[in-house]
Amino acid sequence: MEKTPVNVEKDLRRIAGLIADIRYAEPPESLAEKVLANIKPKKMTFFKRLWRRLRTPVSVSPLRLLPAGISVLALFVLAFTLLWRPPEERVVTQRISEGADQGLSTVMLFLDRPDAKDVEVIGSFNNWSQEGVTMLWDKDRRLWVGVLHLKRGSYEYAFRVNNREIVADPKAILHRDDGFGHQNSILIIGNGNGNETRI
Amino acid sequence: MASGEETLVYEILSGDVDSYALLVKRYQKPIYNLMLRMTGSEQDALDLSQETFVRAYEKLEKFDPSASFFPWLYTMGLNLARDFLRRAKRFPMESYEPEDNFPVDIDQDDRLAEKIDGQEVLEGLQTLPVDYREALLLRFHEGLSVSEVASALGLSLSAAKMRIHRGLLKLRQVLQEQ
Repeated sequence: MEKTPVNVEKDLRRIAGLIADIRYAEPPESLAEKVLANIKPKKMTFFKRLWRRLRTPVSVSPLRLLPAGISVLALFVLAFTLLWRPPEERVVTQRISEGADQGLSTVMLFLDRPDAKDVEVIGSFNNWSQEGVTMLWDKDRRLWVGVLHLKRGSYEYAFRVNNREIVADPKAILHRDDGFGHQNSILIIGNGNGNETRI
Repeated sequence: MASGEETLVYEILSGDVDSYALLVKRYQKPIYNLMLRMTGSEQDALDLSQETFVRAYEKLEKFDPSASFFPWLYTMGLNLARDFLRRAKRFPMESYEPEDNFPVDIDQDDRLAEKIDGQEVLEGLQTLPVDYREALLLRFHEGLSVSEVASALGLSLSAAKMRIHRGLLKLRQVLQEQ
């Protein structure tokens, strides 16, 4: 960052102080009420309650330690059994066959972002809903894979990385400015009648 | 994380809705004002603020309680506002300018500090691109750390520092021209 002259630095400090003192508009009193009217009490799962309890410090005698250890081990085994999911590739295959069943064209999108924690596809196919299509991490190809089932037509889409970064598809041929400094990618589904890969 | 928020989050996840009311009351003002800046409409700002808090509640299981709640909430609000404007095919109140097209001249006139006031700064902020304006408000009005600003805006730490610094310089330039 370039060195800022002293007198300019003085201005910047003054401006920062004035920003701190800006008076915000008061939100309507109904806001909190409306929020609370639209939510229901949550139910914490047994495992989360247990996890919280395990994180809370307690005094433990040696006699209490053995059954507690056995219980924790048993819970890990149970959790693994309950939470185990099929490998990503099997899930992708399953998603592709779902599209074929419905007579829609299946489009596979790929993103090379091994640093990402999660990636979703958002776009005009669901009216830019906040709930995007979750992409799956393919360990072998080291790519994020997304499967869409779409009717014929033209769609705009982008990837949302880690729930905040909007990224255009680097493999897409066509792009369009979204008006916010980002690019949307263009996807065109033609006359295919079954499992198409991405265009 | 702000005082006691980790406990509040656990209580909410355990079914205590009233604890969420505390978080709503704590952050409704900055979120509502964010939406006002984005849409310029009180009704849209109210609707989007409500949607932000409801959406955050629904996704609270995904929130890392050891992190700060407000940057996470703010990111969600900003995404919702942008989605709303995109669906409505409207641009935000100020258009976004990429970094490359955002020149800043450093005029060394040293009389500016005595002449400016809060109202002028507020008006000047409204002329800045969204990402610069929000970076300045998060850093200096909300008092977030630079790393929290980076988290809220999806930037690297160095990019957040640069955005804040350039935002201040640009705002100074705007104020000089006023």
